[in-house]
Amino acid sequence: MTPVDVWTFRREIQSDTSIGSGLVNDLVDEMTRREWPATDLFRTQLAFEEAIVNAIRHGNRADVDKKVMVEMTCGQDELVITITDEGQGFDPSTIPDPRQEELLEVPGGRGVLLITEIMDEVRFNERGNQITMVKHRSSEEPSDEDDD
Amino acid sequence: MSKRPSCELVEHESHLSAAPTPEILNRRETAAEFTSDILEMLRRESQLTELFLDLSQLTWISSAALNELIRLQTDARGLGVGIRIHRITDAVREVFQVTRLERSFRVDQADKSDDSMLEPIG
Repeated sequence: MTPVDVWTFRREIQSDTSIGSGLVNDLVDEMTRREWPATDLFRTQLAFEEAIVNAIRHGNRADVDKKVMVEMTCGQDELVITITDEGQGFDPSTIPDPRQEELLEVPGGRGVLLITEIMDEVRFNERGNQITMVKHRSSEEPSDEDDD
Repeated sequence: MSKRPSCELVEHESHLSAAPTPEILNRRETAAEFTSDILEMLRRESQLTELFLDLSQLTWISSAALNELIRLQTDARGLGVGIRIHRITDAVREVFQVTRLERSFRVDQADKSDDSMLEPIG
């Protein structure tokens, strides 16, 4: 039976990517319970990984004394992820577009691009140390491959 | 004593094949180890001219993995080795398209289940 309630999650973690990256598993489990399409699972997993790594590595500069707050909700048709670090913040508009010809073979700078392209809504707070990502359930039908 | 490679590398005449898992390629540290292992072999075995990366195990791909693939391609080119990416999943293909990296990598267009792409060209 499909759950009709909204799952909520809120946890403060240390600046450790191995801890942070694992938190998305709970969200993926909830999406799976609600039969979200596989495409949405992969996109959400990717966006979460990029955002949590950015918060820990770039925001908190992997300072173990600094924390990252992770808040997530998942309903039947919408999920929201908010990640807040204790860093100085950044202005996302200053990140050069890595798709420019001269940057195409330069490593780095693709995390924010991926997040903005694969999530439906992405917002930063004024300081730039908090990202909120929203995903709506895709309308696509599950393929035969997903049933295997 | 040589260390165990991060991922099995299969050598066949002039080409080398590897099929990294998401756990290896999507984290910066393990991805760097993976590319380092490949480059070490390419430097050691000068007859190798092509590297086949089978990405069929990757249900998703992170920017850390993309960064390592870009570095690997640059360094491999310097050794005269070309890279071919094949058996790519739809989610990974989408990331290559979004980032436009399908323009700088040779990504085979065949379906991920098509094993014929394992055969080298020429």
